[in-house]
Amino acid sequence: MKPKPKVVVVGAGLSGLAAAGVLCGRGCDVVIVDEGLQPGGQYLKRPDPGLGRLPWNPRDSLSSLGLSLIEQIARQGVQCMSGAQVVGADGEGNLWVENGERRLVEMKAEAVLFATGARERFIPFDGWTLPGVISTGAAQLLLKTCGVLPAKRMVFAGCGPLPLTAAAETSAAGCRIRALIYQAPLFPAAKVFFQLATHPTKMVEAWKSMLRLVAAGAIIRPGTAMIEARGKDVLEHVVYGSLDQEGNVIPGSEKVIRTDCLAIGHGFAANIELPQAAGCRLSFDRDARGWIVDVDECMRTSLPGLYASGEITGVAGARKSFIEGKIAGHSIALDLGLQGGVEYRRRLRDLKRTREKELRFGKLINRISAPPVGLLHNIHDDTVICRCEDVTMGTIRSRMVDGMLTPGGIKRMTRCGMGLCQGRTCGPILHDLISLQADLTGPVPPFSARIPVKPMALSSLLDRAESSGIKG
Amino acid sequence: MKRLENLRSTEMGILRVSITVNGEPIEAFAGETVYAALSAAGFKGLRESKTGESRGAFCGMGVCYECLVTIDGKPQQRACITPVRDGMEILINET
Repeated sequence: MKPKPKVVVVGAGLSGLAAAGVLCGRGCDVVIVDEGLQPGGQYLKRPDPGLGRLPWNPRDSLSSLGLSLIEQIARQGVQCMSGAQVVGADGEGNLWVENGERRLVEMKAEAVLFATGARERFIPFDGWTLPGVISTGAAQLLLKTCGVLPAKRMVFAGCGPLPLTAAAETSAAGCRIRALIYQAPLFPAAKVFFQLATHPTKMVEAWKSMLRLVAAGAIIRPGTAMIEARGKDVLEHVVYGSLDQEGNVIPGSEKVIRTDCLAIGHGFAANIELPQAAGCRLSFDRDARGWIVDVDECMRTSLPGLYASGEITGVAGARKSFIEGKIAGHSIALDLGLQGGVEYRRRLRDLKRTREKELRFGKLINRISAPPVGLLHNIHDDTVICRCEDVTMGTIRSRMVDGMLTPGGIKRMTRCGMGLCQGRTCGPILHDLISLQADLTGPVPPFSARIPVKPMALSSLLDRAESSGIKG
Repeated sequence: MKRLENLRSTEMGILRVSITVNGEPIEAFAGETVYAALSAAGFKGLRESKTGESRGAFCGMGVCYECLVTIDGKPQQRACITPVRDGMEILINET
């Protein structure tokens, strides 16, 4: 009997799970590799089973689909490696994985699906590195995976849907939300407003969150942004101000709030490093201001046998990720000869239509979340941009004034992006800053990605060397 | 700061584990992360940055490497993606 073809799915978020769900019933050997401690990714944010089901976990239809998929694939014998990181991949289906026990494992697959999701991005301000300033995702993770509130009193700041959602969730769990410092104006321009009206359920959700926050005593300040986080060694006060049309703080509008914790989030950046290092072609998403993995409408990348789905092919939310995971699953099954073309076309018709709709919504959200130019222009010279290497705005600004306008060039000259996070936090910021400069032809390139794409322990490599007989 | 009140649902099966931070015992529950236990116990600054600034957890999901602490003698471990274990010894703000 022919051995079952092996498929490796990188990422156990909604997209990876949806693909695994399609594939596991079709005669292939599916392995999921995931960084999280529990499968489910950043949408489900599942707690350890030992903590039980926390009351703050989502209960919407998409979450239920995700939870039943986790049960289904476990029943059908799909192996899910949690707490593991894929440190490298090539164009031939080879993968290098540091597993949960911090040992290097090599894998070879007939098909690989990258469903590595997105991370949060930020617009820096003075003091954003102070302990007590966290990301909106960190606030949600503390609550949803561990049942811990970040603090008794909090302020949320940023743009896009997440600060609003996260503030409403933490408020419902008993946190006193003092304020929501929200970059977008209260009433978006008429054109955007009518486009948003074509997605009524999402708008209703947003307004519900806002009303709940107001009812709980939070001050909602649309059209404002953070100016400074203050405190001696830890956060004590936040300073914010109103923005004019260009994103400059209106003089005299500054206000100070005392708080124990500030959660910030300014949209998302796709986790493209692994497929990028494997050699997959990238494309630039103008609306989301970032590089994404280039795929056709069947989720095939530019390299045969390698597929990508979810946030890394365009940041547009959980439902789009879920749909794309399904499409990728069917495409992989088709390409491996496990599914007929007639069935494939029938299944894909509806999926593609839903995907188009979600993409349109994502585009809109990305557009209204874009930072006004003034916010980036006004970052102070002593504000830290690269948190790992403590590279300041002033250092970067002077290099840009000298004409250095590529992230790679600035990295080599300043060490911005050379630390342990490998530019995952400062990369999108640097990208925004360089993009402001005039006379650029075409989009600013991304940082290059090399294997290992995440720091790994030398001991993991040494174990591997010893077991293959290489002597030191 | 004490562990925040009314944060845990009564339906949860909570198993206490013993962990220490710089030698002092703090409250922790099986299944939570080191970051959650530290945060609930009021620890915010966890390490010093290259230029000597105090830093704490930031992204909470293993991306930013700001929450590096020493766990059971192993340096530079990400508190946000490490689950607590009974008997765990954590060192923060080492100089």
